[in-house]
Amino acid sequence: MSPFARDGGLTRVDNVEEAATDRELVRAVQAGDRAAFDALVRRHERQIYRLCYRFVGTHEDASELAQDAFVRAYRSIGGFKADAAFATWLYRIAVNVCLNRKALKVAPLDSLGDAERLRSTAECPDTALVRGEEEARVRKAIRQLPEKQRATLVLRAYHDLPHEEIAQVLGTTSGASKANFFHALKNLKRLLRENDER
Amino acid sequence: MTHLDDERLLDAAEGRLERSAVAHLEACASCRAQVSELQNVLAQIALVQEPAPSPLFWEHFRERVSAALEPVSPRSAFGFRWLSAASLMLTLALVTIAVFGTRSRSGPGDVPLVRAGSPSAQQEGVEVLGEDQAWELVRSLAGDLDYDAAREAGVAPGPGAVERAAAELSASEQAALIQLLEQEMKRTDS
Repeated sequence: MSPFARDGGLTRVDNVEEAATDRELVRAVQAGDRAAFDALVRRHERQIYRLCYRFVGTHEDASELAQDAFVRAYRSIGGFKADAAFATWLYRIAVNVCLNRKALKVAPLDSLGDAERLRSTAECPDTALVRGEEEARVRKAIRQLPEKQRATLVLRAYHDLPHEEIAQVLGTTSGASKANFFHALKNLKRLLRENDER
Repeated sequence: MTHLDDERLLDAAEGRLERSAVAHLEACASCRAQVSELQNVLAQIALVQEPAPSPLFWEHFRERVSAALEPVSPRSAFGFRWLSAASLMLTLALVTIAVFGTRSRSGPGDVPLVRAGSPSAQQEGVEVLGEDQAWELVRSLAGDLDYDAAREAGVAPGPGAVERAAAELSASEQAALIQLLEQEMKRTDS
């Protein structure tokens, strides 16, 4: 039985899973150990979901895209070479999934079931409303950025990736990543102003 | 006075400006204004929160991923390379046959495709695929090109393109394609 398998939800092998590096888990998956991939999912699900959410702005779409990213990763893990970190490779897949996504559903957050409802905050309703409008304004402007600039901005501003790693994710150079980020910020400022004037 | 370039302005906005440039920033109102602009945008970006799904969401998420993986198996490194190579070879074969097929229907100077070494290849005036420089160029280029690189370069087919191309081939072109694929599969298996 796989050392990474979970039996009925019990975490009897947590120590094994926590001790294993991404590289070891990947090798196990490549050798046919499906539970090792489940361990990789558990380890990276939140980062990938967050990345997708930053791209699409809705929980439902982010969930679907994150799932798609993991399926694609599983399908192509046989060709994964250890010349880059697994997380970087996974980020790359997720970014491509997000950028290639065509018609996005715009589902309200209320579509979540009660059991999955987001954790509530103690925020005053008026403050929450203003903040929500401001967030929508910024999200809209981010979505209007050119793809490379949008991807660079998400990876840098929300995931705090160094430009060297962003360059690996996006298949560019560290210098280009910095330039993209600079132009993304400049364009975002312009878009926010233009959208406000409309 | 040499102002800070874009990279240094960004470094300054993120609080990572090298010491040698700090003096200029302190003395230059224009650069400070630009840095301030960038910082305002960064602050607005940071305001956008992301949801914090409950533990139940993550359980369901893993179940959905697991269910989606059921019909999928990871391609082995060998299988992955084979599939990528076969897809690329198929694409190039279809493109080449389409090109040569067009040429072969173009008029009195018909040049039927034949396999190198076949009896008909010995006939004068018959062009042999294996000796065709354009085809050899395509083969040499494809040899080291993996599917992802070809796709990024825009060479790989879009969805359904290969099927549509295959449907438009004549009977002789389809036979030639089958031969090419069989050769490739034998070559990869060996």
